[in-house]
Amino acid sequence: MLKIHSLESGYGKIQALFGVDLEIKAGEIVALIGSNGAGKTTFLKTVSGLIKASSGNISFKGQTINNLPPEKIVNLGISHVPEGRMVFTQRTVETNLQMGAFGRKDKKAIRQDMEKYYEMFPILGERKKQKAGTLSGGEQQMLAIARGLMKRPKLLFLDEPSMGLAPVLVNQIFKTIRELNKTGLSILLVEQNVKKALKITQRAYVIELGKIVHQGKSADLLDSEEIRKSYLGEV
Amino acid sequence: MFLDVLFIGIMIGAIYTLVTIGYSMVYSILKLMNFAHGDVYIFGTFICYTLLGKYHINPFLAILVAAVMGGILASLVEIIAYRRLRSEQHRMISMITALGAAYVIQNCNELEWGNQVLDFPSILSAHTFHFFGMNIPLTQIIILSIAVGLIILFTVFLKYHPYGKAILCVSEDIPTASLMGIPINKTISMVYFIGGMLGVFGGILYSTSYNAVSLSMGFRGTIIAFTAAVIGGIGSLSGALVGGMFLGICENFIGVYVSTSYRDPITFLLLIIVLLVKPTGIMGAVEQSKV
Repeated sequence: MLKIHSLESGYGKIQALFGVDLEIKAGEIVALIGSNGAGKTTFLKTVSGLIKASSGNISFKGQTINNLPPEKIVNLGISHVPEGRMVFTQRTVETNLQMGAFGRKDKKAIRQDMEKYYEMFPILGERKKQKAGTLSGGEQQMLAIARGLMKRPKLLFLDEPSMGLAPVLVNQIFKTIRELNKTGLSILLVEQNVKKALKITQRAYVIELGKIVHQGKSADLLDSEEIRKSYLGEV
Repeated sequence: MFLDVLFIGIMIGAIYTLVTIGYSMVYSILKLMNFAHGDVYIFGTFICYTLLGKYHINPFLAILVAAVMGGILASLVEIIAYRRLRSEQHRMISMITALGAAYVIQNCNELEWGNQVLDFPSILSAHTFHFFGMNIPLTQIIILSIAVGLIILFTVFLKYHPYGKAILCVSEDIPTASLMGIPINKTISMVYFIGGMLGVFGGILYSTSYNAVSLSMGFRGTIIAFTAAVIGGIGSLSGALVGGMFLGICENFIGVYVSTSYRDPITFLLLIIVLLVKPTGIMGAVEQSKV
């Protein structure tokens, strides 16, 4: 579904990715893990078009999407739920979801989708007329995910969905992610909570200083001595 | 007398609000001082003047054509002078190109229409109404209604139309808005177009009420829009309304009860006082930065 070959990109003259190869098949749930500043967010931003790739190739469902603007890429079926949730704080919960469906013409189906997510996240339904800025961090994360799904994407990018959330909420978010994958949605999960991320994904890539240094089945990586040492803090 | 002055003040305030909306919207999205704003609206007002005076076109059609041309010019300025600089870190650069664009348009206006005060044809009837002891010419009532109608129309568009909501989201966060599939360039062009159009409507209404149009009203328009936006709280619609009304009403009271020559000095003194007391403007909120 998504095939990336020797991708390079960065910010201005500062290069952040040095030839990344990555692949996601339809229906898969894949983790991308690494420490702060390793290039995880830069990678997501480059694929979703927020940053221009300086070289390499990104192909989605057989179509090269390098350097398309983000608004075109999301319409092809890649939804990016950004780090820090980035809900529109001054707009209502409802408007946030409507914006997620921007460009869709099927009004009735949009309504149904909204009802579906109000059911999945009841707190959003209760607060649909409130400004998104008044929600708690966990609620904003649910809103950000629901907003990303309003486009009916084929592939969902989640950037640090558990960041800054209370443990009980973290479990809930991870459960939701797994359930979404079961409906057939492909997911690329970027996480600092390495253990949890490896537990709910099928495969994983480890990125360090802009390069993929390990890849394999998540269960195998979870058992690997090196990963345990570097990312799980075990000696 | 007092009520008469207040009424005219409110009318001028509504016109100023129209002129301020475009300026303030552009700022809220791009954090750019659009110095060309006043020159664009006076261009549209001149177009209307020519269509009415020279070609005797139906006033409604003339106003519409002038407003659309003003809107097109505003979006052209954005595409030519601002768009490529949007990603630049230094806002000073686009501020300079904005000044450049302002001077180009101003000088073109001067070549075509000169720098004298021209008689703007009166479109509306001169009938006068008397009620509650006020003597209000029908013209002023119509002008106020049109201005208020346009403000309401734009508010409804912003609140309920998908593209209106998109404008608000783009002004909150451009990258995230683009991840929603909102076409950023198209949305920004639209903001300039609508802002330019509302400005031209304001310019025409102003010129109609004073039966005059001149080149210098363009630069004054930029200053008025800037001041009203800052007094009210820059970047918000309610700020534009409060700031526009504040300026319009103050100006008219000072003009009538003190002297027209003290109008601008006192108005701008008030600007300084308001900002010293509340630096974000009357309706302004403190901009929240990411923690």
